[in-house]
Amino acid sequence: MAAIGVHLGCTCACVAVYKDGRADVVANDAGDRVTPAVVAYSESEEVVGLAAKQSRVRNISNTVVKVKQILGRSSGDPQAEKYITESKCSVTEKNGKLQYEMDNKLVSPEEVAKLIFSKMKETAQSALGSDVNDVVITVPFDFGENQKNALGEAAGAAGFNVMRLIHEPSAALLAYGIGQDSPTGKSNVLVYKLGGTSLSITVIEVNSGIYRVLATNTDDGIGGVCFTEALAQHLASEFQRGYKHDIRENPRAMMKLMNSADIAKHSLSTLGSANCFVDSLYDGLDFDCNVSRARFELICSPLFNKCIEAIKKLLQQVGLTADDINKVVLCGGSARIPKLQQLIKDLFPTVELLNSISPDEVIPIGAAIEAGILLGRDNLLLEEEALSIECSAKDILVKGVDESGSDTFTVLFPSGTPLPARRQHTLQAPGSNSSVCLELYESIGKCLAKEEDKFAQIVLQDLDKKEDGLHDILTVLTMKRDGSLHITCTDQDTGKCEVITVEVAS
Amino acid sequence: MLQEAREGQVTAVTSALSAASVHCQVEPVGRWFEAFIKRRNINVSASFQELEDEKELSEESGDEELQLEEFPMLKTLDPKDWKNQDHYAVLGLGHIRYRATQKQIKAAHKAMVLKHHPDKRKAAGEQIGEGDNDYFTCITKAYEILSDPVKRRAFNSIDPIFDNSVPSKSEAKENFFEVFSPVFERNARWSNKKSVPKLGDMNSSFEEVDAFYSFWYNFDSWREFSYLDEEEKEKAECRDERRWIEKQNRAARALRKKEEMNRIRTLVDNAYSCDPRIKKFKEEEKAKKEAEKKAKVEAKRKEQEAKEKQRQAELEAARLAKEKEEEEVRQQALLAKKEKEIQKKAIKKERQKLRTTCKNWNYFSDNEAECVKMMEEVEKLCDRLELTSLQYLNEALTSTTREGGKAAVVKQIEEVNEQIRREKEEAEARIRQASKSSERSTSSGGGGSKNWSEDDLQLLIKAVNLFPAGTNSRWEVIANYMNLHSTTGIKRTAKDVINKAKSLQKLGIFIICVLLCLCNSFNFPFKNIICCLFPSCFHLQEGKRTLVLGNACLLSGKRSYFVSYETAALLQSADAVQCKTSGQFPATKYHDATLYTSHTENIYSSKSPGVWLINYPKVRGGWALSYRPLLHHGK
Repeated sequence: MAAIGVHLGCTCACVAVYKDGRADVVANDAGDRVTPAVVAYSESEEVVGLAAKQSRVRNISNTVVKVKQILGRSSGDPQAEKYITESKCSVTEKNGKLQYEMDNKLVSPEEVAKLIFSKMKETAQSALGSDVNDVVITVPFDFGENQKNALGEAAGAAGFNVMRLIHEPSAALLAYGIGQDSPTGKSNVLVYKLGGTSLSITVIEVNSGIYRVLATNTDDGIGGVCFTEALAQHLASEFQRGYKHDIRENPRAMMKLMNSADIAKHSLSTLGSANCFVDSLYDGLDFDCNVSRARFELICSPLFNKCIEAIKKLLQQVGLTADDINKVVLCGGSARIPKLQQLIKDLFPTVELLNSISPDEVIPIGAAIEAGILLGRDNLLLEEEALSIECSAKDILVKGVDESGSDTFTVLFPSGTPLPARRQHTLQAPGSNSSVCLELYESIGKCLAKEEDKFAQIVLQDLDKKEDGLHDILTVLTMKRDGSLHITCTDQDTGKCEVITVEVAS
Repeated sequence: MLQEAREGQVTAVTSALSAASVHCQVEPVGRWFEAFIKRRNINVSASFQELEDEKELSEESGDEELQLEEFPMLKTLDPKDWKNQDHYAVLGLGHIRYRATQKQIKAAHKAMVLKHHPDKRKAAGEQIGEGDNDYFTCITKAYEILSDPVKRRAFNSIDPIFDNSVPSKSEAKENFFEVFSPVFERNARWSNKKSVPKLGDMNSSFEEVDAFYSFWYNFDSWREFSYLDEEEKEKAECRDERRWIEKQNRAARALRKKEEMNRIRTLVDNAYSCDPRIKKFKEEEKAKKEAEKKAKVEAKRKEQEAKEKQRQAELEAARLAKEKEEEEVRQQALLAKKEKEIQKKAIKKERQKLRTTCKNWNYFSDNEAECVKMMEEVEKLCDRLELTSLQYLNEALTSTTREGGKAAVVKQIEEVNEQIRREKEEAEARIRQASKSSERSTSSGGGGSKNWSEDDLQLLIKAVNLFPAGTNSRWEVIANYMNLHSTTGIKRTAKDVINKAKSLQKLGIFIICVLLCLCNSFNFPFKNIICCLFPSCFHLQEGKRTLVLGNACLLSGKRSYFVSYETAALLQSADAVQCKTSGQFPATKYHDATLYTSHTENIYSSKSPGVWLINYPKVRGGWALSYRPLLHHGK
């Protein structure tokens, strides 16, 4: 049994296969692990992938790029309008649907997406050697119902059996298996996705292995293309300096330069310097230029600032500080840029930066893992209400004292835990005492519990005194779906036990 | 580190929790989410699952004290006839049967082996059968069957003590629930699905009953009949034989399975037909429907009454308003008449006054002839002058001397004369112009569109169709025809007729453009079938002209039909939109084509049904046009 996960991005598509408990990205027939999401139409055939991207210089009006931006949108949509004005191929409206006009035939965005999905399916099948239909597809968090439907339709037309559409940031978390090993505990994870055309940052709370999006922000104004563009502009000015020709007005030359800049940008992520070489760039003149990483970083520093500012803004919006983030997951091809990783590390000095999986493969791998989880399950259909689950509203704390004698509070039952849930703790008390008192508080947020937040106390009397030992108090908290709490405290030595049940104030 | 309890502190709940659980949107991702949803769907909470596990454990520990029922016939069993033995009874599990757990079966087998093993009995000095002939083989066989889940299921399926009977309808007449409840409970064990709905009682809700019957009508049974296979596959010697046996067995099993399904079906059918609740629900439904119907009729009647009342009231109001208006008009007329009379009197008086003043002054002259002339002039003044100017003149006359009076009168006379002269000139000019225009019109043949009445247009169209292109000196013939048949009596030449026809043609092409625009701007229901109309001077056989129209339609990318019949004329003059029918379409038929009647609310039509102007209130209150495709229906 195998299943696959597909990520269709604005610029690139990637497929990962789940087999024998492992999820791996598979390379396409050209040997690339990531396929450009570009489709070129010609008289007789449709070309998907690298070949289409390379021939775009010659066939610009019949080559579709960034189809994801228009998928499932209608003509009134400002995003669609923006896309139409930027697009090099003509987009018309027919029967209320937007369609590309290619060589006098109309092609809907769904058909373009279908071709890309077919290509992905082919890739996965050739790697597996068998037919595979079950798939999990990722969608951006801001995708609406129409867009999801359009994407699902396209995947269905490509012969896929879509088991579920999941959000890209959650897929990224799943790829690193965050919260999957042990279902207890609570942490905040920041997903930083810098894709080809957009930057999206999401803060996800992981509680009991379940993900909840706290906040998300997508900026369509910045993406990997911006870096390439900046570099290409620099190269153009270099060319102008050397040959006194301004090629910025020449779209063909600029496109050649963009391709070269793209390659240079990629190599600068691993090498200290890269060479840009374009044959016959303009007027039969060859162009040759060396770009160092430091130069690249200098050119792009305003862009880097923009990328980092977005994180700060989002954290401010949710009211979290950098310390509240436990992990940062990087995804999207442009998150490879070393300078960017450095800047993020500076912003979160104590936080683990997860980049062991190649950033542009994180999302498809997560999707494939989810596909593996869903494989063989019968009722995959989720109702809307299934996504809304009961969670505990407040932290449950217990008051204790530390060595210096001041009060400390320990969280026994964090807020946001999916209910019903049971948490078990072994609390310790000094062995010299013959009794133990657990004072229980509830609180919200990070503010310390006050005296009026106390809702119960549990007292265990007549314990065996141990001069140089500790009392182990096993505390089990069980919260039901309505939020009522049941606490059992047991002294491990004597077996003395106290039980309380706390109802919710109505 | 926990605190030490202070003196007097006891376990207590001081206040309730302030916040209930909150609903959160989560991502449908990851195995814990799946686990959570699964738990929620089967209504088991995480914390209580372990408790349940414990419960199961305790149940299993209870098995240790399993009571085995000794099977009295055990020793008399024939090992050769193992297939017909009751395996549960053999193992001493006759009382729990299919509910026995694997553990219990194992334990029972162990106990039986300890007791009945040939070696043991031999030691006790009992007689032992030779080889397989000993009854211990039955125990081994029974365990073999029951320990294998597949074989056990096969045996369970044909459980010898299971009561397959289905109660008949007559049995259940009186005490339906007592008869059917145990039967359904008994058969529920074959269900693949757990949680079989109960039959319930008389007070069950409709949903419960419905769920019960839909469950049983779609009963998914695991019962199978491989145990009753007559041939054993393992005994076959070659592949062909094995396949033949398999085929035989399959057929036999399918037959039995079908019988079984029929049995269940009959059971459910019987129950359904006898169920007093179903009867009750049906009656309720019927009553409800009737009540609804009644209510509907009542509502309709009331509405109509209200409408009638309103209409009456409106009519009354209109009548009253009209009466009032008429009264007012009469009053006003009366007033006007009175005023006029007063004025007349006044004017008369003034004239008299003028005359007398003039006479008093002997008409400002001593000469007889001059006097007569002045008299004439004064009479003219009296005729022409208005009341106010007369008054003014009289005042002037009374206030001045004779000479002053004369000057004033002369001045007035001059003015009046001047006015008379001007009027005369104007009248002359008018006459001149009229004669000139009449000359012009006669020179152009009187072809102005004013002269073309509606009837004439229709006549022209008829004539044009009557004498198609290619007719010898066509337009003269048409003109003659027109002159013969026209009721207006205007004589027309061939030139007139041609001019009119040409203008109609031009109008036609213009109209097509307008129509296409219209059809595009409204979401015209017949979007793909644009009927192209053209003036009636076109004949369908006139290939060239229809081609022009066809091209116009092709340009718009629509399928086209051609419609003739006075369309241009109709659109040209507003009177052509004649009859207004509200709500209903006139049941006009033209040729074999029934007119479109769908979507129409207000229809304005002409005498000719070729074109319909239909008001689509739903389409932004605009006008849309519907055409009947004449060509489509043949000639």
